[in-house]
Amino acid sequence: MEKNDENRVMKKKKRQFERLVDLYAQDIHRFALWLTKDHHTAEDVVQEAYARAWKNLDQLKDESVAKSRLLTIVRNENARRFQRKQFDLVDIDNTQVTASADSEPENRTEISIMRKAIAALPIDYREPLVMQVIHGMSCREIAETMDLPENTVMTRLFRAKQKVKGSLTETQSSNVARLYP
Amino acid sequence: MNEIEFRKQCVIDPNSEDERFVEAMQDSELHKIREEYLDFDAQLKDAMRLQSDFDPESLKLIPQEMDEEHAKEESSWFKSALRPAYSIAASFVAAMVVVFGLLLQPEPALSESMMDHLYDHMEVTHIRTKFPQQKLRPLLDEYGIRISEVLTERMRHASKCELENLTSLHIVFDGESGPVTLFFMPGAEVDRASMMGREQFHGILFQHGDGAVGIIGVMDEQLLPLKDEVEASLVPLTPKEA
Repeated sequence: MEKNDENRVMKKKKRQFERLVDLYAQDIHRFALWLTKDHHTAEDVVQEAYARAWKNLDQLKDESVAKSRLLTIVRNENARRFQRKQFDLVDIDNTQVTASADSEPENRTEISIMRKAIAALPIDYREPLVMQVIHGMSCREIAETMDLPENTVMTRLFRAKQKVKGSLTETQSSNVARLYP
Repeated sequence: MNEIEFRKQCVIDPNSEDERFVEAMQDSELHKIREEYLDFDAQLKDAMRLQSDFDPESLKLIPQEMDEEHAKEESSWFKSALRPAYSIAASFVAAMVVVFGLLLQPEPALSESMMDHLYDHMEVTHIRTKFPQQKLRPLLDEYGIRISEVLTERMRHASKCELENLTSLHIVFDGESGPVTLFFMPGAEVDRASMMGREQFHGILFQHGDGAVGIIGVMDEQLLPLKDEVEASLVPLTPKEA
């Protein structure tokens, strides 16, 4: 009887874990990829984040907290790896953009320029930008996840977007660039 | 909110729910401006969509892999004594026993929790400023302990944390080779002192007074002198002090 209960609990735990994978893994991986700028490192970091999530699943019952927790683990893991070894990682520059099927060629050029500009951002700017754009997080949520004042996050987002805008202005290849006088 | 402020907010977050921003959006001109910034964010999102072979389904195998790994670890003590292939690991363990004069009996749950917590809050190990004494005293009072100046002078961080459902104390101080993390878990019991390790960190878990103490440092850190130092420095409050 006890064995049956254990099995039931374990099955429930696994279902909960799989739900965390279904809900967040793709976006967590994108976040890791933009953070590490390397496919293999990103996969390792995501693997590690989910391994920790499995170990501490009881603390992740609230799914809204789970995403923020996973992002924090990814950030810490990246910081730790960076501290241990200075990677010379630029393979994101060689990564193909998954353009929408209806993208015009000029849009693809803009996207390519923007992608390089995002990759070139200092990590302090890149992190909140990816959190906002990929994860749809508000400034307050980003501030909580990064343990920063909300105003700091707002400043970083502003500067990050200005820098990306700057790269477009330089190439004069986008009408969008004119939005930022 | 004037147009300049509105535009700035649009750059920062065109989906902001700030009351003044939402109110300003009622103006049709400003509403149009916001649409343009939303387009820019949509472009950013497209730019961030990278091709990858990553398969999230592979993550679903983690529970199974970790169960298998755990099972292997449980039997590794016996195997290491029998198989010559494990002689290096066995020598390392034997050396630790000699150095510490302790029987190594891992306390996996506590050690794992401490290591996990260390990794999850790695940022506090980077703090270089001295932890303010005025904040430390009330924190230690809650745990009924005091810590001598030998450690407080080198302390960089102190906070409460949850380990194994016990409210514990998380301290970071300077060691000889790098930051040292100390966990104090009042009420936790450790049968025997044991070693722990993960990647570039190693540590020691032992009973101290009515709680468990874990000390974790970088691999070059000498743990035995630290253990002595902590045992001498971390003492319960006397009835008078309490």
